[in-house]
Amino acid sequence: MSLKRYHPFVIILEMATVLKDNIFILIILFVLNYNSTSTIMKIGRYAIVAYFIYKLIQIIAKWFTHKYKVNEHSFYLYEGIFVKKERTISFKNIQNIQRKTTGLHRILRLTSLYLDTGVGRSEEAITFPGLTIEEAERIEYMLEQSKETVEQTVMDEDSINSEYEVEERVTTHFTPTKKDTIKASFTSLSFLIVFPLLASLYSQLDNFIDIENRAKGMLLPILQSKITVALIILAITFISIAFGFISTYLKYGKYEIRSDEERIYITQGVLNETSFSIIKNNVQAIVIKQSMMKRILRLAEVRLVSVSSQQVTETESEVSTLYPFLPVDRAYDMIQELLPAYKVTESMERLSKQSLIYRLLKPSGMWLIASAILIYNRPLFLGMKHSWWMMIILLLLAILLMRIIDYVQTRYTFDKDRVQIRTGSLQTSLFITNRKKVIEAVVTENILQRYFKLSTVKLATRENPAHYAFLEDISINRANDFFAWYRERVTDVNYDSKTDGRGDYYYE
Amino acid sequence: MREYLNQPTEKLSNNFVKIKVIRATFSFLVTIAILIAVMYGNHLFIQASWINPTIYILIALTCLYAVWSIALEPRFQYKNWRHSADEDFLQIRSGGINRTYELVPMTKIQSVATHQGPLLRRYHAYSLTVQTIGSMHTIPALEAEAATALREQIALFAKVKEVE
Repeated sequence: MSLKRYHPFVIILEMATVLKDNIFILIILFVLNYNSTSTIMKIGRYAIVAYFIYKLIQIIAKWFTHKYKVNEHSFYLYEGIFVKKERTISFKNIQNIQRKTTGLHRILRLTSLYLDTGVGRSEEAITFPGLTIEEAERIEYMLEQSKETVEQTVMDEDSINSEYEVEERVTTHFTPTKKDTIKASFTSLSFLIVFPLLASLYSQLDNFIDIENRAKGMLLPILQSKITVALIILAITFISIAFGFISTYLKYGKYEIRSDEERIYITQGVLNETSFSIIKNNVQAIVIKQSMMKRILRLAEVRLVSVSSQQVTETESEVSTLYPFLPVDRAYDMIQELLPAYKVTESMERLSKQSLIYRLLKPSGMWLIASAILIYNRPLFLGMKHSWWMMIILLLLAILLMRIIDYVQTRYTFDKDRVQIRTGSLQTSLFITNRKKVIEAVVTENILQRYFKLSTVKLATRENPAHYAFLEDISINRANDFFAWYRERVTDVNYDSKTDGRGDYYYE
Repeated sequence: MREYLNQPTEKLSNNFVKIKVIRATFSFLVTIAILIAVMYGNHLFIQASWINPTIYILIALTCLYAVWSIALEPRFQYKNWRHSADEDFLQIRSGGINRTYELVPMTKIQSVATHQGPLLRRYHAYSLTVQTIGSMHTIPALEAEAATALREQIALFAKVKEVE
């Protein structure tokens, strides 16, 4: 396999990112202050032009010096303009593959690949910012092939036709219907964005034309007619719903969750297409999240906790969620289809009465601080003289109510090799994992908890950084049971025979 | 009290209380010295009226904290600390007021190391840190032989890997 340069259009792609990153500076320098002759603006213009030229040279030099090579089991990357750097990354270390096609990629008929090495820092990941679709497919195919050869050697010669079978075994689990997208657009409440947008547009216009004064003659008669006001509000609501629907459609309209024996594949996005795959074995836990709105609509967001270094930008970290607006029942079924090891059970234990009493008595730091500020300032709400102490009481009641809701909703279970914890007041989250995936168990008790014979259990699972799930205020007896249960994890785990010689140890 | 099998049994080094008291006293003295230096500097150069009362409050708080950190905390910590390592788990129990019990599977331990600063050397003790994928656990002071033995033991047990 020969050394390859990246696709020459990478230069265009990278220049586009540089432009995008500096768009505000450009607008300020060349659009808003087009006629300005002040020295700062002049220097600024020269500086930005110089910066762009520097960037262009750098990107071109990078293109000349960066090369890569792929063989059956590794990537070889060569980089560095002055300081040369060589990296070899074995296919074994690649945890997730993510393919992303933006609008610009589509115009250039390219795509990008992001291969996660799971080593923590994002610079350890392999990124191919621009690849032809064939090349991307070739790399993905090679990765898949290597996995299969590994598997084949493990499974003996039992599966000669496995290649065809694997192709067929890919099943589609979910694509959203129109109804799902409509529901989603309501939940995400993204249409509320329209209001601040309008407000900012209004204030922008206000700078140019004196709307307030001009409109006085115009607006007053309009506002006096109730029907017109109603119509305007109706129109705005309609526009916002349309806006919400379109933005949700663009993000979640085209969505597909597929899986085969080994991996889960997620494809999303109408304009910017992102596809992502994760090895089932690398899923460390599942978190099912439900906001208030989602609970009303019986929807849920399913997040897969996994080792990945891709907390680079927010959009990318979102990818590890399955479709965020799954109907609850479908979500439970799908978890079972995708990851049979993580079956969701409905029957869970509740906390004891003791823990409700403790939770109501527990001092609230937020309330104490807020009260201190209120007592010190004694502000007037709605012009009422005694409103400050009423606020203190209201706040206390609200906090107590939240605690009661949290208590009612908290459920847990641990038996055989599974653990399941649900917590939360307004937003609930259900944490599900297997005993062998729990890398650490911690039980803590503060002095007040000890008085009520309660403990807090903390479970760690692998992620970057480690993911912690908390179960607060379970009785000490149950916490003991929990520890005993966790000790039994040794029965779930298969030890690597290569390392089990206690001494004869080879690290790959 | 907790009743389950394999309770952790090992204690910290006998000298832990002394080491901890010296350390706490030292940091108390340094804090007081810094505060007095600030006060003196203010007197020489700035002469802001609000600085002195603030420093008095800080000194009072530092003294109060010193009572806890020198006279009480080391003994508490020593009395309540237990740890042990077997084939499958490292266990640490600590804290008298806020209690913590940790259970770390041996297979998840990535590295184990002993450290010795000048103060620990004076008392022939080592501290031992265990690094897992998610967190770090420190045993603050162990007798030299106990520390080496525990380190070797953990290193041996932690060699075993799980098949995912």
